[in-house]
Amino acid sequence: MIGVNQFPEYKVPGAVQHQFNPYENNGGSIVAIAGDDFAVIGADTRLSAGYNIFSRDHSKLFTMTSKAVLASCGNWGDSDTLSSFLKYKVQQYADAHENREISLNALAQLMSTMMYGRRFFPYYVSNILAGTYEGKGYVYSYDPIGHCERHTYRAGGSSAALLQPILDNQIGLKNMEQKPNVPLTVDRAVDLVTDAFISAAERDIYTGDGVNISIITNNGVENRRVQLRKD
Amino acid sequence: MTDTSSQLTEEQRKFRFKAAAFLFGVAGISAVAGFGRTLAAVKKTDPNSFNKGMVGSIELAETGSNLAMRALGWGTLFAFIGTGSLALAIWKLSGAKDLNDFRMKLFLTRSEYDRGVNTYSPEGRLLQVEYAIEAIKLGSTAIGISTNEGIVLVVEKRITSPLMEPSKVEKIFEVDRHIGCATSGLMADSRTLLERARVEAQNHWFVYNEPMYVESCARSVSNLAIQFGDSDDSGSAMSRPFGVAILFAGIDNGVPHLYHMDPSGTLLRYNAKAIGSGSEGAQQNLEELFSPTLTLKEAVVKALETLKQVMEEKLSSTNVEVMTMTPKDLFYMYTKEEVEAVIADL
Repeated sequence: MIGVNQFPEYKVPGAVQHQFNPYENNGGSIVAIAGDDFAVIGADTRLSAGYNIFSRDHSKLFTMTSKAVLASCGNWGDSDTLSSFLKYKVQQYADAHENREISLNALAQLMSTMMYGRRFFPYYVSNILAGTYEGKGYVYSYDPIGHCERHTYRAGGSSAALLQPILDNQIGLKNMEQKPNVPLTVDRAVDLVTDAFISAAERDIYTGDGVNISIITNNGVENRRVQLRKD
Repeated sequence: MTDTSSQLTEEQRKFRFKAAAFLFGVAGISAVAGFGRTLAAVKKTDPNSFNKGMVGSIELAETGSNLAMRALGWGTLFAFIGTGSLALAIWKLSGAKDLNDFRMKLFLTRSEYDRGVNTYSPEGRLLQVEYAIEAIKLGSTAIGISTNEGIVLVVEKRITSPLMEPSKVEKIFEVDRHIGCATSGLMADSRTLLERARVEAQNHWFVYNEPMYVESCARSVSNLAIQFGDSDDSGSAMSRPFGVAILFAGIDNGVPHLYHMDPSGTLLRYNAKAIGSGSEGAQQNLEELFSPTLTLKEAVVKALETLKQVMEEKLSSTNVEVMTMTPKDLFYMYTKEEVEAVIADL
């Protein structure tokens, strides 16, 4: 009897293979830096697929609370769904707990449990959560199935491999004989994020057009916009 | 509007019919009694003539018709006095305020509306829930006092037999390290509610990696407490209201919180609260002694003193449980020795 197992592995006429790929990478890069009492988080605004650019002004930052901003890139549909679901959970938390705003650390754990809940059909996203908790700056990064880790700086997305070494060198001061003792200020953190994205945009076709930057301090969230090359 | 008014007249008509039937009944019984009494009296004084009168004869002191009239007269008198005095007695005994109230007391008893747990009485009450609250008043007394330094919970343990093992009569439970509760009422019911509290507290920790707020935890329990009834689809927890009142003591971000929940699911925050059989007296006592400047040590003493006043048995280290909830030590049960030390100073 003739069945699929009679066909060889290479393509032959008469055998049509059907498959569905639910995952598409829409590119984009994200960076976050935690200071003593602030956090800076940035994401480029290009939305692309392969050689196509869908949008040059597409924000990947999601303000969750007055003290927490999420940056999410990867599959746009997944990051849209995940961020919407998270916002819904933030509101639900407020309704269930006497209008309290969820803390950054609780939000970090909530996101981890939510993402691990889809262990066997994960959201195809790279996430970084930045903000302040009890006056201190925090950055949390995630893998697609919800592993959560705290860092002082972190890059993610298509240019992660280009951005992370810049931060390692400038903030982590890795592999240095003499380490300059300069405290990290908000301005320096914003400049570093901007410079890192300018460099990444030169090398990565999935990163460019512009950067949205959110600065989270104890006074709230401030948003800035920097232009990048648009080719 | 018209619907309600026509319904009301329908109600009133039914009521009048009932009332008339009742009064006729009482009057009828009284009349028959009076009639019978007169006949019996005559038969007793002159049995011979009475028997003759039944068959008809000429040598009678009193004619049959005369006798009948006399009997009827007595009967009427009895009927009036009987109905009147009965109504008057019920009026006085029931303590009715006005005629309408009296009618309600006489004809509309509670019993018709306290069967279904989800049926309101015409006065707008859920009687089974109120009965469940009454059931708490049969339970052992529990007292909670909240101070700036922490909360103390004390409960009475009823040791009904010297053969009982007192250490296994437990009325104070740890929900999480930062939440404890004292229960009064049906202990078996309290296990279900306690289970919910513990599950919710652990789930909150799992999802949010932070201790659950005391109010949220208590609210989740009160949500369970009102899930009674016979409905199949909504998945009720119990066919009747839970016969338990709970005092929740916990710490939110270093601040002590004391909550009270009763079988109706009502959840309120208190500075000091007593539940159980001695709750009325104890609550009055707490209202007099509570002050916002109380220290925890003072509160432990005051709580035990209050418990001592309302307990039937003599207060001892075997028939009382003491727990403190402080920002530093969180849930802490007093040992037998520590309880003895406090009691010695009372």
